[in-house]
Amino acid sequence: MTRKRNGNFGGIGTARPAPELQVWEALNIALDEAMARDDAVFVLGEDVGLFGGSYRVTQGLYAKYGEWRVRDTPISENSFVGMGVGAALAGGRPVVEIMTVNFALLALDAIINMAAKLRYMSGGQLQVPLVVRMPGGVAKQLAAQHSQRLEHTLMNVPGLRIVTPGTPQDSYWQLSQAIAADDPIIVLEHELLYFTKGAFDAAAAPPPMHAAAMRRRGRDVTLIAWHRGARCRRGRHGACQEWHRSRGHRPAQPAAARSAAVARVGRAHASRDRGGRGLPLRRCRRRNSGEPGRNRVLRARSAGAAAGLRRCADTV
Amino acid sequence: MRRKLARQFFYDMALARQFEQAAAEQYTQGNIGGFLHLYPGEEAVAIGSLRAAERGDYVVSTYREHVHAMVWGVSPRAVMAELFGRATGCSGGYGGSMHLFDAERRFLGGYAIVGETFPIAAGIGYWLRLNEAPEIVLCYFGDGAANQGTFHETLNMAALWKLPVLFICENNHYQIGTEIHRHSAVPEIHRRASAYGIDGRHVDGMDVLAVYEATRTAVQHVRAGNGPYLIECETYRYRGHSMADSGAYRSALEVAELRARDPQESFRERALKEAWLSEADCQEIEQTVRNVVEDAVRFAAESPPPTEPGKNVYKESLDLYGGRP
Repeated sequence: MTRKRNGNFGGIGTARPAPELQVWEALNIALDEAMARDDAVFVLGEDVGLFGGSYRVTQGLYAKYGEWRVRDTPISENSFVGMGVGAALAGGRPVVEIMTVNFALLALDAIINMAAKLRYMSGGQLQVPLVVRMPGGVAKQLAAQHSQRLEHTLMNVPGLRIVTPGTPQDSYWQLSQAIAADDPIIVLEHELLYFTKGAFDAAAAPPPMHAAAMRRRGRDVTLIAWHRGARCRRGRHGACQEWHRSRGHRPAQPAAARSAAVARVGRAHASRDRGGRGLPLRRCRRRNSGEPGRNRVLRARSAGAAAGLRRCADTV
Repeated sequence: MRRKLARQFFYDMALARQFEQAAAEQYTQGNIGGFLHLYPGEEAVAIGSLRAAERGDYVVSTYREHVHAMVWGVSPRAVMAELFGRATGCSGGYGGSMHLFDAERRFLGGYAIVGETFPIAAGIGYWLRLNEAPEIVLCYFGDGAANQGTFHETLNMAALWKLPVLFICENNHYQIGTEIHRHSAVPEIHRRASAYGIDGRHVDGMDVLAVYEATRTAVQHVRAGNGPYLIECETYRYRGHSMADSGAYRSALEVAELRARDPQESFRERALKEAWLSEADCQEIEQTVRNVVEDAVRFAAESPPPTEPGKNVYKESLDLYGGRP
């Protein structure tokens, strides 16, 4: 069951949430609530207004809040993200949507040189409460330029926080938390997850923004993944897997997944790793290794090649 | 009014010249490291334009911004201490020469990636416009920055949404060592504003009164809600781009010709001729400034460096998030 698509979902507590929502709807509710709660919150990006967002995330907000709080921008990524930084310095809480993560490469000056550095370089006088949302990942037959992930680039930048919600509930929680936070936060979404369904409860208490979530307990191996990689699958060789959904990439790795799980299960497997995600795991392995040879950390990684032009989604 | 303003201009000019001279000496002695970009020759631009704006307006400047900060009210002590990298500096010793900030006075940087000032200023302008606030933003940039994509992208958006931003070009004819006719197909920067339907004008950037009058008109235009405006101030820097640059790519004749139009000297002559100031006034102001600059250097030298290098990367302690990056 999905909600009506007029974007008017009401504020907190005004309507009983549907038991299941799609990811885009959960993001839409988070934005709507944040904008209703705080006049400083506004949205800008390409086609976020009249069009309603490429993945419907801002649907209905333009009609409700007007063009100054839901601003359609020209195709000028570096400058409209930089404008978000400027507005944040002056007291705004902008939520900038970049149509895909691939276009964020044009805005890395605004993200890395401006947003991530200004609190530090100003000696703590300034803050940049900016959210940059964007979908990435390998989608269907989009070719190499449009099938990238940038976790590896962004997670190595001090001053940024990165969250990777993959379910409707996490999308709602983490976007709400990101908007409320006073640091620049990158919300990496996945192109193929916007229209997937999941349980949703607006009233449920959220965990800390970066805490990992355990999806399934297991005995033989711990698997840590996110986005599409975090869908639990059966072990091929009868191994009893423990699945953790990694929800944040900077600060690097939640303590729960990195020490408790590895200590208990003795073997961790961090998937989709192209950017050194395994390093914190290896550090904790050294700390926890009671039995030599047991605490192994492996990293599954995509092949050292750009994504191909496949018709079905590439899961690596 | 003229007398008071003339005194102010002369004070600002003297401070700008002597402060930068002292900074150069401290750099040579090894007390200041990094890149140091000095302002002599260009003083009329910052002084004439900033004195025409209102306190409460926002200022976004380049990496050659010591004078902008001081004219906007940041103390010479805080600026010199920042150049020294000391905790008492206006950025707490974390920014240095190129990244001066004073949030309280709305001096929001200090940007050393050429072209960053445009979107920052437009973002502040957007926020002001969204709140129907009366303030405006003064956005400084050099002739070299006019070839960055952000210049064109931002002018387009500022004009499209009538943002209250006054773009002020400090055209000193050189992007480091490349003369403007070698880097720009249209070297008259103010003409480029017309591509976006923005009013732009040219002004003699060696004449503080001309800059002041032009900026007053422009500030009124922007504050009245007519959208952005662009002023190109044609000026010159006497020194090289930074302390690391001798400026050998310019002829001695060219430098001498521009020095003959020195903004400080020509303003002194004008002020004496019009009897806004007396010779005694000028000497008194210069002596005051000497004391202020000496005090700033002493203050900086005696200040401690910042003690917590890991501070202010994030607002909250990382421990709250269960892990350190």
